[in-house]
Amino acid sequence: MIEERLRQAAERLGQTLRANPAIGNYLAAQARLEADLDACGLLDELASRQAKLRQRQQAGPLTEEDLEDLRQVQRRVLDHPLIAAYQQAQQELLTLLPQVNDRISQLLGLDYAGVARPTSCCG
Amino acid sequence: MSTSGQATSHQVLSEDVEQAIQGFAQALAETPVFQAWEQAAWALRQDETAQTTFQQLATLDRQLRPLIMLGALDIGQRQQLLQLRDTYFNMPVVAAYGRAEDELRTLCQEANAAVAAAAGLDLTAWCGSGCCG
Repeated sequence: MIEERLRQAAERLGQTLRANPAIGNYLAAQARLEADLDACGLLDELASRQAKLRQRQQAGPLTEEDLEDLRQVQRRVLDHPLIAAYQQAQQELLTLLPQVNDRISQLLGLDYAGVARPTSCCG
Repeated sequence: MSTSGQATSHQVLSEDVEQAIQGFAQALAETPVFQAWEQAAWALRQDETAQTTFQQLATLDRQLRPLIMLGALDIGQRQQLLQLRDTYFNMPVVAAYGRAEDELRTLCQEANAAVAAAAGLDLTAWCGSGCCG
């Protein structure tokens, strides 16, 4: 059980991050993506094609037709506006959040993400 | 708490984020668990026997690493490595550091869970090489 002062400071940090435009954009883009059946279906199709090709690859080289099929699905994914917006929002967080971690780590003298990361994330 | 230097990375962080980070780091650093960890880390650094034994273990591990990866250690080498590991990790100052580190990890995970709940995402998931190393 964490001390009240630390809990409040943690909540304040979380609320401040939540108010940051980059995080707001990401959460909104994620919600729009998850609510769109077409976009989700496209991502599922891509994942499914990739898995099938990985399996086929174990039996032998892929054909040019296999690769072109995959490229077509990849192009449709990249062209989908909601997916593109989500990826753009992801890129902004990949810039911001490591900097937040670096600053916390600098102040504490340890790798904050390395210590604070949930230990069961690999199942 | 370390206060040395002004990292260029924080120049792109807004003032409110910077202040919230400082408040969070200060609150964490002033907990008994964090201070106990700092104390244990300092004691470990000061203990010459522990430092020497660690260097011996690191050297032996490095020398035997190719054989370890091939599963080709003989019984003598395996015993040598295990004995040195036991010696190191059973040293009181090392065991104390291990306990302090475990408690700090638990505290940081709880604190981070509170940050994540308020933020709507877990910032640690966006940092480093991921949970699988």
